[in-house]
Amino acid sequence: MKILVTEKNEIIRNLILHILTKEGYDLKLASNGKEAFTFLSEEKFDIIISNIHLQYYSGFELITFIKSNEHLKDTKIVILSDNFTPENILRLYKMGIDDMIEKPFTPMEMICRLGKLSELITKEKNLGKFTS
Amino acid sequence: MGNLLHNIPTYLLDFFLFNIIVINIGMFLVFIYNIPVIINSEKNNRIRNIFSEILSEIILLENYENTEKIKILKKLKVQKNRRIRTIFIKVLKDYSIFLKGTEFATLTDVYKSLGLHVKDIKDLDSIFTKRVLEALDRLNRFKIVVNRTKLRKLQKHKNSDIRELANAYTLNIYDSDDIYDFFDFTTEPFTPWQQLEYFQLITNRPLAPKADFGKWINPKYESSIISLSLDLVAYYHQETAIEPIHSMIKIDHTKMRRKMIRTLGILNQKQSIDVLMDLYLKENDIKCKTEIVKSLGYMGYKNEKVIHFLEELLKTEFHTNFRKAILIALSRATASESILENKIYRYELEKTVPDEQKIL
Amino acid sequence: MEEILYTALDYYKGIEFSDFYNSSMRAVAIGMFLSLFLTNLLSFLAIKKYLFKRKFSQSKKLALMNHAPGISIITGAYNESMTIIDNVHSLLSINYHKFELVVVNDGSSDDTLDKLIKEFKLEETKYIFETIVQSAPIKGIYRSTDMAYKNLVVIDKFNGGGKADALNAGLNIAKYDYFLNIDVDCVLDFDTLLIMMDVVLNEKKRCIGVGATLRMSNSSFVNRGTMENVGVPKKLLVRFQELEYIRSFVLGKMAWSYLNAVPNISGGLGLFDKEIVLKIGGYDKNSLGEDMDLVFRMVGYMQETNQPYCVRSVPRTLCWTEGPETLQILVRQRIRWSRGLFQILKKNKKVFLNPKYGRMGFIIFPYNLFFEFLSPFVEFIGIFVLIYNYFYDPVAFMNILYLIIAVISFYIGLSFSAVFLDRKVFNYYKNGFVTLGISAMAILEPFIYHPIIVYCSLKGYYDELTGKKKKWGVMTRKGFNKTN
Repeated sequence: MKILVTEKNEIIRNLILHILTKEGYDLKLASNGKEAFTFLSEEKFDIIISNIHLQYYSGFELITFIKSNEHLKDTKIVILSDNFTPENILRLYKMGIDDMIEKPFTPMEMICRLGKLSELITKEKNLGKFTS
Repeated sequence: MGNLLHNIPTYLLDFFLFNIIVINIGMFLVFIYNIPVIINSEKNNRIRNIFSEILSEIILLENYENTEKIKILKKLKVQKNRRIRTIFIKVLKDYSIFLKGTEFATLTDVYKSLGLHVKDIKDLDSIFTKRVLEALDRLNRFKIVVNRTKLRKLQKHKNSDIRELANAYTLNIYDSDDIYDFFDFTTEPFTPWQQLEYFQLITNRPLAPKADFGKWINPKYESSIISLSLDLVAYYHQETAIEPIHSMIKIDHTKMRRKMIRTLGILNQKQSIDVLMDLYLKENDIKCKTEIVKSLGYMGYKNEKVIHFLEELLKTEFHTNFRKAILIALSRATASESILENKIYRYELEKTVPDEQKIL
Repeated sequence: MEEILYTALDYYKGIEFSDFYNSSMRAVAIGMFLSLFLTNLLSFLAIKKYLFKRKFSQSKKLALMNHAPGISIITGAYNESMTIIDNVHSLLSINYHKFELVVVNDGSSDDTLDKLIKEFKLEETKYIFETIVQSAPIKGIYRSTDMAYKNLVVIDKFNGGGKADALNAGLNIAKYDYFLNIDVDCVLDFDTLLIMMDVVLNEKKRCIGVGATLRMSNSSFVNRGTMENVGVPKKLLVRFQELEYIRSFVLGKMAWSYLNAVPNISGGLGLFDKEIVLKIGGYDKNSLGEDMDLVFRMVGYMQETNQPYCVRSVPRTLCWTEGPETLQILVRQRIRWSRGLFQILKKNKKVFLNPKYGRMGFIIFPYNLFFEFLSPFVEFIGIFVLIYNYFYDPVAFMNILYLIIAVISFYIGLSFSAVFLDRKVFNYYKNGFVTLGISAMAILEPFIYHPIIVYCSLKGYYDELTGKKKKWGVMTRKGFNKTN
């Protein structure tokens, strides 16, 4: 299961690296919008965890990029932020994200949410195999 | 040339020399400032990374085992060496900002088992403001309980930053009923930041003692305290505060009046209807009038008096935003969407608003 | 006629070595020394206080800032086709939870608007709003159909003759209680809104305006509107400007901020309280220094209505702007600034030493009158006096020469301390050599750069006095250097 983590704070990035590699995920780390954009253009990820406010490309732009791109449409999007105002939450869900994690968070919360998402992904993939 | 030099006023010469010296020192400082910074920063970075690794491992361990990791930390001279301790505490703080729950408790345990909180409690008595602030900040963050009397003293300290932090600490840590008494003895207004902060702290602790916040809606208190109390009253739906608000509603301060009207709307009690309609007749400020109309909309559900009042207003008021507010309030009071459909969506507004600039 | 001249000369010689002259010169020397010391002390204290507060509020920042007031960023764009897309992208990804970006297309003759429409998928929308301040007529208001750009509003209007008019149009549409006034070609720091709002929230009095330090972006590398590499400007003229900006912002503005007597918040970056600005009627279209004019009028209004207020400055560099690289454009800019200053001083004569206006009447106005406005005259006359004395009175010549050298070394000392303070506090330059390079500009400044500025000031006053037609001129954009 490949995950792209875009987080501007170094400490959280490291923490997430530790948490998720222990769970067996295959991680790629990005620290700003430009790196995320480059990674997204190069390879396909199963899940992307990202901030909203990033340099170069905002989280919103990344979401529209993913949604409008044929190859990347199935990528699950998780937003990790400390900035969830009611308007933003509504906006994000309307844009089609799959989950939200609010800072401060517990590692267990992240593991559970991602676990659920990866279950969903495996189910979808199996269904795809069935129908194709 | 020689006797020209003799004629130079000495003070000018002194001044000139002084400036030359200042320039030279300045250049020297500008140049050498880098050196110690560079020397230390690499060592600091290495240690910081080591601490990061250790803390990450501690956080992710299922059953947190004290002794081994703590021993490592002790070996790294966290307790003895001041520079290393500062770096460690900073890394600890940075981690603790982003975590909650058990992981956060783990970090607090690390902090306590290294005995770092002892020095912080001692620092509270220091004469240096900076030290007191930093110590209090850490104790607040790691939720270490300190003697209440000591903290009361800090709440009355001469430095305003210490007072602010001590108040925040009181709201965060203690459980007794009198944690709000600083509302009474505070000597200066709350900054907007303090209002936000105290509001957050109070509302984020579901188990904290609740007071009747209407108590502070009283002319003898400063307006920032009244403002904070209004927010809290609205949040906790304290209907006991209605009377104090009614008695203060006619104050001069426009922004405060607006806030009170809005709070009455949130509290949504029938008694306020008459008070607000009465106020409307004497009200001059357009924004306050809009608030009154909005609040009446909430309160006047199926109330004939309110509906009639609002319909009368429609006949005389033509200001765009205000009219919009009246229509929305009317639709709330009559619980019918049709008003909105009929009036707003048919751009009837445009017909009745000649002077204002419109987009066509 | 000759007799009058001779008696004048004798009189002049008489006062030369008289006690009055000596003691007044002594007073001047001590005064300058004291003011150098005082400025340094005040700005050092202000910066220290700021850094300390920053360190603390950072840790509390997280959830609290979600309830902070919203900010409307208003910017006017005139023929900015080359850089507009990147700039808007960078402004939209600023780190703040609640803001909108209002871009006012001020009757551009190029494809600025078309580029915007295409890039951000804009579509014209009906907008009913109230015109609180007058501006040139609006052709249309556009919003994005893409949810990623939900907080972008583009106003298309007829050109009203300058930035002030564009800002006024934006003010009518802006929805939040605070607005940020920037030049569209500026590169902002990622945390700008957080930092400035932090200052506003932590003041006990009502903070009506916040400014920050500006710097030159001419040799920096900017990618998609984000500052990648802060480079020290290479061209001589720009280096002088960089030094001047550092001195003015880090020393000058911070010292004023400490005293709550900030005379001006730069038009390049300023956060203001929208309610007050609307109450005084927005920006003044006819002013050539509309940023300073606004601050003067805001402060005047607060003093007149007896409301406590404060105007602050942030020492950190939050905005990088492209400085004029050619002499012609620089001269035009400076002439415009000095005309603006003259206008403002004329317009606000009534505050001079007027107790009703408090700080404004006793500190801000006199300072601007004597040290900003009159100083070019003093310097100009001083040169003539010097030349005259060279031929007629060598002793006096030496005296005045020493006085001038003392003043120059005073300013060099000021520049060094400004750069040092800035370097100590915020590490923008790569190393000591680079910093030294900028500070060394201070030594060349009195001979190369300063005469240009004096000329521009005097020409500006002359133009204003003779009522010459006002021209803004076109700033030819070079665009930012792109990293490969």
